[in-house]
Amino acid sequence: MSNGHDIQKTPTANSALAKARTSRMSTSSTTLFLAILAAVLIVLPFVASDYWIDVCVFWGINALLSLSLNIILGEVGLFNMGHSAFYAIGAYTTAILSQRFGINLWILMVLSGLTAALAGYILTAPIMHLRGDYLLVVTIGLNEMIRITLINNPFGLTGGPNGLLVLDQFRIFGKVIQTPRDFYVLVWACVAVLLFSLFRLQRSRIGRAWNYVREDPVAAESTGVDTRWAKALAFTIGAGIAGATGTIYAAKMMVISPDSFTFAASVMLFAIVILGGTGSIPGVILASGAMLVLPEVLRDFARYRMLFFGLAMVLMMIFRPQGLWPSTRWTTKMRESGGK
Amino acid sequence: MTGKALLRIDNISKNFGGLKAVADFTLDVMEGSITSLIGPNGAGKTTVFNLVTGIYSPDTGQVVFDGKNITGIQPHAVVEAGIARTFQTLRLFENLTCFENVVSGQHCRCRSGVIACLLNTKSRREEDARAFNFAEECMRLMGIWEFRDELAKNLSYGDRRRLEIARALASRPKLLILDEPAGGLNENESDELMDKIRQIRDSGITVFLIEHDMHVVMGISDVVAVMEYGRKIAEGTPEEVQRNPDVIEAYLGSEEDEELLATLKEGAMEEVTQEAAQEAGEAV
Repeated sequence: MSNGHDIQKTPTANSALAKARTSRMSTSSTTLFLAILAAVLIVLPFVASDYWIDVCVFWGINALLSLSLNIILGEVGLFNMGHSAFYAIGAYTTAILSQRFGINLWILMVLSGLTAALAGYILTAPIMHLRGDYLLVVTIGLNEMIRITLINNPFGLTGGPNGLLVLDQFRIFGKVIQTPRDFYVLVWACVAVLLFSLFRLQRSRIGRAWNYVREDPVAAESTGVDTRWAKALAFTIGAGIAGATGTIYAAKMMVISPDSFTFAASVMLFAIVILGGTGSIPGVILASGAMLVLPEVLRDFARYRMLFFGLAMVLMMIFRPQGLWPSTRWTTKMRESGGK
Repeated sequence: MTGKALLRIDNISKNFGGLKAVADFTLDVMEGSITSLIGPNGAGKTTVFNLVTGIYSPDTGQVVFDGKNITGIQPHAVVEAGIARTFQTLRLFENLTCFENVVSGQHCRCRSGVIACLLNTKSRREEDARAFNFAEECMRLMGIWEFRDELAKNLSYGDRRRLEIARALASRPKLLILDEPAGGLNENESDELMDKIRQIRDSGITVFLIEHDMHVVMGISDVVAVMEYGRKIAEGTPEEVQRNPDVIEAYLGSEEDEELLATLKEGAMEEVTQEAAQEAGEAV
């Protein structure tokens, strides 16, 4: 009696084909997007004013946050509308440890990431079984709890509504990261590293498991995917990245306060992922830029700009609900001896 | 068929509120067999499947699979233990390609963690290649390899059924549980399905199915168990069950199962009294 491990009724696939399947069909268009993005970002510091460089620094920070939320919301489909909480935990970890112990910011970036990841794991453990709107409401509550805790200045740690100062700066090979251009390089280098990692995860069994959970949690569980593990992993990684981004934000702003980590900020991140195209990395990068750059461009319209902005969002949802750059699935077709 | 029970369902019960969905249900599924579970709608068949596959945990009783007590463990752990299933109402990953759908079955047979995936290690790549090759075999077996790059939602109903079975096979199960695999299929398709199920059994996988299509049930089953009101009322070979008066009684008056009744009557003409047949006629 075999144990059912040999359905050898068909010719075995060759390994070249198997290897080809690890890439996505969208690879060509995504590569093109990233190439153009990289070209623009490299040219920009030579032509743009400090003001626009600064806008792009915040685009990068926004991109880091949105990409981290995209893991939770886009890849796994968990409605997390309290992502700012993890960002706040990272930023405050940095500020507190930097102020009290003068720890190097690079080390703090790792520590803040780990703290936020741990918080993400522990705080979401009791709510992991919730779905859709229920999870959404609870994460809003989570966000508010963290923000109000920060305002209340527990043990004199968080500085209350005024927040904390971060006077330390990133240093690399003796050079202090200070000017908008320095931060521009730092932030976008981080985005590049994150993108590289995310693409690898997306193409692995972990990325696939996330997508199975998003599509149908019951079916995923019934085909052998530990859905609890998949969700917890997404929350942990997503929160960790947001936390590490908090360090960059703290160093850039030099002062952090609870006002930066509001519910509205979480809603903005949520909207970026949905508008960009859930689960689509290029889409999320585009949308995180649009959300920052468009209000800047529309600044001339002063008080109407948020109106335009809102209108743009409504129109998007009506005419292109799949997002700016919908995510595509990987296929086997293109690589089989020139395709069919 | 060997003489060994691969799955022992031992006296399980499940209540939903005041409703006894399954009551003291006992059944052995023999290794290498095709065992069918039939019964009128609402008899509790799918609940039995859900109890075996960990979607529900039984109030009493236990489920032993391959010598291991799997009562109340998580569904994904049940799959890992070697039981794969399909659903009565298809549950595919609609927006993923067919190939991705099938690869999902291999998830629990792979071990690469976050670090291995980030570093893209050789072992991770080899593991994926093995998973992909096996998924391809399963798809070819079910005759859906040509649809590998289609999104699951774009397939025809019959192909979707086959895709779901391929996905279940991809987890290398010892026991395959099929919930109404012939539901919604035409006669040609269900004949084809019967061939496939036999082929799967011949490759060493035990099959346990719920089916309403009596043509399929009587055609492929080694053992048929019959449920009514959450209880097992009969068990035996297709011929024995067809002649069982309790079974015929259970199906009387049930409009949805007129076809089933017709099949049953056919097989048990002598046993059925004139009176019962008339009664059935009235009910229909």
